[in-house]
Amino acid sequence: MGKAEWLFRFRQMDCQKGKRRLLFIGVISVCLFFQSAKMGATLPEQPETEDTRIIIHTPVTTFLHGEKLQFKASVDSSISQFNFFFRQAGMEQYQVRPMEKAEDGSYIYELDTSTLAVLDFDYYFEARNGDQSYFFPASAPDQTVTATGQPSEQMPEIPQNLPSPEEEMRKMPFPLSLNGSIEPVLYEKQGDGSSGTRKITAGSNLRIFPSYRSRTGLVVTSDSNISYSSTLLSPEKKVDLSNLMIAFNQGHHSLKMGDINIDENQFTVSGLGRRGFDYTYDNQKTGFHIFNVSSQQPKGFKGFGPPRAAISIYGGSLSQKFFNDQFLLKAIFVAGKDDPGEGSGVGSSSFYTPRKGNVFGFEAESHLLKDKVNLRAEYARSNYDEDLSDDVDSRPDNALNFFTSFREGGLNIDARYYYTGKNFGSVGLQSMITDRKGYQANVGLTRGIFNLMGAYAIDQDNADGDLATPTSKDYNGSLTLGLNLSRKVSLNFGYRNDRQKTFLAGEEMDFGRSRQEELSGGLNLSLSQSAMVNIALTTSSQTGTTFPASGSSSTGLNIGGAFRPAGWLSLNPTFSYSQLKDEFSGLKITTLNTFFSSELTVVPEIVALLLMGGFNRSESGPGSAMNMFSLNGGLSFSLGRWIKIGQFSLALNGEYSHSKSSGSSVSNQRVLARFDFDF
Amino acid sequence: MKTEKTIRSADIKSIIFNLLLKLIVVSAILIVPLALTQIQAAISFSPPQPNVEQTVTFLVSHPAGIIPASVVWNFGDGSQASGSTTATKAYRTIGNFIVRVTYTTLTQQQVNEQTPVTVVERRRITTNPPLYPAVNKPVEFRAENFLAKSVLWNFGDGTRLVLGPEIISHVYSSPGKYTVEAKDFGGESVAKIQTTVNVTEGTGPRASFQVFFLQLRFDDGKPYKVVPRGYDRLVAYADIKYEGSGILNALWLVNGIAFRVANLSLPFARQTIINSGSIPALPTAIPGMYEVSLKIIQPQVEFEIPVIRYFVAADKSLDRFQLNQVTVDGFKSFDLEGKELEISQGLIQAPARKHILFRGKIKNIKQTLVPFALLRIYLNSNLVDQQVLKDLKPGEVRPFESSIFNPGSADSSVYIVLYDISVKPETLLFIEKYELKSDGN
Repeated sequence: MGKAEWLFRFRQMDCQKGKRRLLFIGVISVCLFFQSAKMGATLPEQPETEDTRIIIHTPVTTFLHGEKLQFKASVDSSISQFNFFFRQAGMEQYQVRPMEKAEDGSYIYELDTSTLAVLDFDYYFEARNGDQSYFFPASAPDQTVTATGQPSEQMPEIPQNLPSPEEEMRKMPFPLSLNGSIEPVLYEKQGDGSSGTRKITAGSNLRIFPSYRSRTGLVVTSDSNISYSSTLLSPEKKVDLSNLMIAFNQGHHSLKMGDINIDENQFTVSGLGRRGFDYTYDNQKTGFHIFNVSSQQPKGFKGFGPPRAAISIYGGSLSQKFFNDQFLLKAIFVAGKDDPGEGSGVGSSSFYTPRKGNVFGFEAESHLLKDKVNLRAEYARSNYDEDLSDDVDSRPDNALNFFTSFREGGLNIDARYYYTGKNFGSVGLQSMITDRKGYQANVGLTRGIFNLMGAYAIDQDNADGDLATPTSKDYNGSLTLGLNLSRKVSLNFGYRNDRQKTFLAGEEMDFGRSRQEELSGGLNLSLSQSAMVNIALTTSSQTGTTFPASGSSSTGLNIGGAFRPAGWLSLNPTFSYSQLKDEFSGLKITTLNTFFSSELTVVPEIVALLLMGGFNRSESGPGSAMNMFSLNGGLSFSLGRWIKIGQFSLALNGEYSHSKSSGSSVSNQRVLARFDFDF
Repeated sequence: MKTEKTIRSADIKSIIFNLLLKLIVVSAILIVPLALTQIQAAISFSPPQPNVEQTVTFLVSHPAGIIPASVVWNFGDGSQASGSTTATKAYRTIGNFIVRVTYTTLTQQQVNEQTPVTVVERRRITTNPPLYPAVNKPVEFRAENFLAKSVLWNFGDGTRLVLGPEIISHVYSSPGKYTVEAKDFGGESVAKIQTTVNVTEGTGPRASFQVFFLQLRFDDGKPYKVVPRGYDRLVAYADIKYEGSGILNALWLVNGIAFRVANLSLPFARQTIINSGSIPALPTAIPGMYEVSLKIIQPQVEFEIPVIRYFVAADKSLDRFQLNQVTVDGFKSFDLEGKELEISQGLIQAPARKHILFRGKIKNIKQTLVPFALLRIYLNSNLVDQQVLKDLKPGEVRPFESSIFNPGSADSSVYIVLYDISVKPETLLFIEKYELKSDGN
């Protein structure tokens, strides 16, 4: 085959690419025709080639990073094998993938460009018949097609100078680490005349994380952390088992004990990161899962061992995929008891009481037309007692959800209908909105730098339509526009409008009305990995006619930065402003806040100046201004150069805080030494 | 002259001494009895700061004794009493009153005394829950500082008056603003002790705007985290279930210092998640223990906001190794014809000078999302492929495919390495080595 045969047969052209591509193809064809320099690739030895056949393909020269690129080619006679070769910029070797034969006789390979670490790659095709090979471009791999991607969203920065695999294997760590910090107070002066309650504060962690991998595929991992803190957060103890995990993995089997995440679906158990155990079998077709965990993250060592009966949740699921994984069926069961008062990091209304219940859930999901159309249906029936302290026993109720989505190119359309009965509930969900039903629709469009999304939802309570009970309906619409002006600059704007109306027996009531509007805007500057700025502005207004009737408006501005202009300096400042105004009383609450943390290397790897501080001014009326200023920091001396078994540092720290309100001011000063260790 | 001066000096001293002595004697005669009179002839009363309707007991005394029949009390509010050195009085209003008493001593001395009395109203009604009483839920009323054990309650909703104890519960059947009145002394009191309660639906869109449930956590769902110094992705989250509709105004706090504000409008009693922000993330420059909390300015929160903690370790590379947080299952190799190549005990039997395909499934057994992972395939020390795996969810199994060209030389090794590149520095998640045994080697 001579170079003259670079004339392409456009009859196979992918219609979706459009006529503009014709011009591109012509230019690329001419370029390729005249291109004679070798690409410098390290290539395998190729079999002898006889240029007697023609591979027909429309070159792909541009793409949007993240999209799935379909490479389609055909050959004018029968062959035994069709391969797609591609090489990301910076790589020496080509990757090869066998192409699949389509019904029309052409060969197809779909490349997920989100896996590319760079935006450019070269490619060519090879058709084989026995020992004979035919290429596209004909003189491949000397000449190839270059595809250049456009960034569609933030791509990760690929680390440079990663260690060689041999080095990584040599650096296997000892599976135990101890770190801590001890701070004796050297000097203290408090504005109220007191001398403080403790002269030495300390915190420490002992982490144990042995792991084992056998040649037979058994992987045992463990990771536990025991923490110590001399300052207590009531009702914690000084020593806490803050992390606990042992996992056994072999093939499709997985057994985990400790802190685990249980996530089945929105009606049963979701986002529950708790302590307990679970077993999973998953061969990507059939899934089986059983678990028994605490309903709350237990405090201290309370979670060591089986969950206690008062906060124990158990259950499981069984799932099966059908029809080439396009259809999924799943059944879930969850039961147990919960007491929010037992959890750490949790605060709740006095109406949030100990509860119990069980729930059966069923789920069917299908992914059709290569994931372009997704359908999901969920149904659950619970028997739930939301308050164990009252005389009312468990009551049954139902919940269901229908969801469908369509995705094609940059267009996304979602629609949802849901219903949750008044008495429905699951102990596997920390909180749940019940007695609701509604419709939601979202439309998203991504084109070039634009990302436009619109959403509209109608929700209502009194889902069963009890005529004696008021029904509130909520009409919520929002519009969001994102502009990715470049990889470094993106803008977003949002508008949301929400109206709530309340009806009784079909008549609208004065009571239970509300209206909200929110306007937001943001700017993201990722000038580099070492200089990022985020600006976000939100203004909201709200009026309502519940008791008490309310009307308020707010403005919030957040500016944050993360700067590492050089290896010796890092600076992370925030600036915030918010104003909340009660439209009835005229009362304004204004908050102005700045915060920063920074590290300045004085002598590389030895001496650093570490600083953290902030200023806050809040005012809720004339003469009520409260100003607070604090600064904390000092010089840190790293001893790592001399003590080789870990990281040790000594620091001389100062703390100063000053607060002023209603004419009185208080200043506190402390000087501390700090010893940090980590080995 | 010298003698005269001495005499004069002695005289002067003597005169001064005598004058002082006389002064002391006169003082003892005149002032001490007067002082004694002042101390002992007085009005005393108890309690010292009486409440409205509280009985105050007055007592007048004099060192010379008092003729009881001569005593006349004037309590400062227009009322009087007489005939006794003690008197009781219950004021009906708050105020400052001057209590006067006139009497005759046993020595027939007419005496007028007076003392100020401040009468206050300490009685009040408190409710539990203090901020958001709800329909069909018991509201506990407490008559604080009441003078009698029996109180007549009027809950303001048209239900009958209840003669009950100081602490009583009532259930409202419909939303509204109610004036609750408690009358002391079983209803005999004339003082109106009142409070108003805004009773709304306890939960749902018509409830008062309130935070019903709040959980603070880090990305792994836990209230405690250890991070290396300089870690730039530490974000705290607040899972919030709210009732009603309103504008949330809050401040993220780090060690009690305001870090960032959070402002957003929340409609129709739903759930939401707010976070402390990622640019910048929570501070990690200084090693040691940190406390993170949220100060909610609006709406008022009736429970204590939790505090979570994180510890910044001295070593910047603490998370350098999190090995085996992902696994590679079903790792197989093929030639381009699709024929599976034998892998046994980490040894891949492969044809020399041919392409080899690798297929496997990466499983994230970490508890957290890996936003960006980097899969690298090495032939000896040479990087032959790298792929980005985006959003590797906990428990997710992600298939991968790669290839190498087997040069056919002896002692070739294939390495599969996976990094979490979402964090700085990157974290090694997985590394495995396979020996490549070529035909003929």
